[in-house]
Amino acid sequence: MMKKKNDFTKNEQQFSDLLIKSVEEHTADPEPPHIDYSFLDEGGDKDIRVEVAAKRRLLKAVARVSVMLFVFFAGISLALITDVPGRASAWKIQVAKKLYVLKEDLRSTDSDESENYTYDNKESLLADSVEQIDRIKKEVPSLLELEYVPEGYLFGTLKIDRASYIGTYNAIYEFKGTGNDHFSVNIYYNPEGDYMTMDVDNVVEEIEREESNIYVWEDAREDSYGVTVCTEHYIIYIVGSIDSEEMVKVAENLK
Amino acid sequence: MNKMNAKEFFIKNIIVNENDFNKYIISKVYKKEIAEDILQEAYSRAWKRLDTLKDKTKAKSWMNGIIRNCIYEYWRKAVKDGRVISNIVETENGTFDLYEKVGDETDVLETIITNFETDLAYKTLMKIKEEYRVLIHMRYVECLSIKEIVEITGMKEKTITSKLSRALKKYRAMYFEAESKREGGK
Repeated sequence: MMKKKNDFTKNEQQFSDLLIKSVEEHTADPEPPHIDYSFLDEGGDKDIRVEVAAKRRLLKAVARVSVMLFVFFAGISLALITDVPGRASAWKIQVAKKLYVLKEDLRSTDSDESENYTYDNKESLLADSVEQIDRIKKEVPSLLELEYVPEGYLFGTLKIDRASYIGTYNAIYEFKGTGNDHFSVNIYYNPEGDYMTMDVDNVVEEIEREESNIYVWEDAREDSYGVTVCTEHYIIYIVGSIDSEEMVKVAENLK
Repeated sequence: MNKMNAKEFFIKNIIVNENDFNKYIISKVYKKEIAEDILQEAYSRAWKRLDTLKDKTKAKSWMNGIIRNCIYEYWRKAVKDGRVISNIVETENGTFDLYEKVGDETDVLETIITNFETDLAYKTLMKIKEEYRVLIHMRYVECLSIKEIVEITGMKEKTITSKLSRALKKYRAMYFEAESKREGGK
């Protein structure tokens, strides 16, 4: 099976196709694994309920269909008896919508359990006003907020890309100053992360703090500088037009 | 039947698919020993969490989900454990350089593609160090984007790009070394 990837160059795509073929050929018939099944003796005499959950869901769905069909026919009959064609149409539309929702619901009861583990289960959240940050904060309680913003800068946007299965997200706060001045705070969150010991390249200053150090870095090759903070669950990058002292102040006041 | 002994259920609905699970894991990690460790861990987790399996008719796909989770954890650990301490990198001729050109892999890939041999390509992948093997697998076999690799490993994009570049160069060097040894042995 050839996988196509938009961000591949022609050579990369070709290399990928060849490599996939090679891996498929060599992993098609592996030796049986040696597994220690002694874990099955830990609590192995317990009983579990089989198929009950599926049956219960099916019964629930059948009951809901019955109620919806009853509502549908009762509504149509009532509208026809009262001889109001407009109302009959409105009923039909409403009921059709509900039936569609019900159909989707029913379909979801048959969904593959493995969907719970889909890595690609991503979503984006966007706030373009300070009030909307509060709304996002309710959905993403671990989101850090800025308690200090350098003078002359106003909030622009907050964008969050969240991988709900893994629980990680990437949040970017953008702030605008006068003219082309701007700065951004990029927060990467991982609930299982342990970034206290992460390496930071091109460090020119290290500010020691009890909870986590703040690193000021400069990249001469790319003519850029910024501030990085690594805590247990967060990696924070601050870049932009503000000077590094202001960046440090922003980093110190992220709560 | 509403009730079943958990052990019997686990054997009849999960362990019965062991060959499929093993084949799947091998195709993601290549090494038999690593695949066994992953399957062992996945079984153990599944056993402990059996109560959370809502629809017992979906046991196989539920188990596949747990296995995938274990594989992601292995990838994350493999790439993280092999990280470099500073910007100092080993160049292809064995000397050390402070920086490394990153991004343009055209030449590296072109030479491999032109001389590609399925057996040699796989053998080289098996021999290359774990961190590089996982990165090459994620990028070119799983076809994950750099952003997706960053998400799984929790490392910086720049670090991943740099490591991937080194991995490909090392892969090419090992590939041609193996090829020349084989030619020399003929």
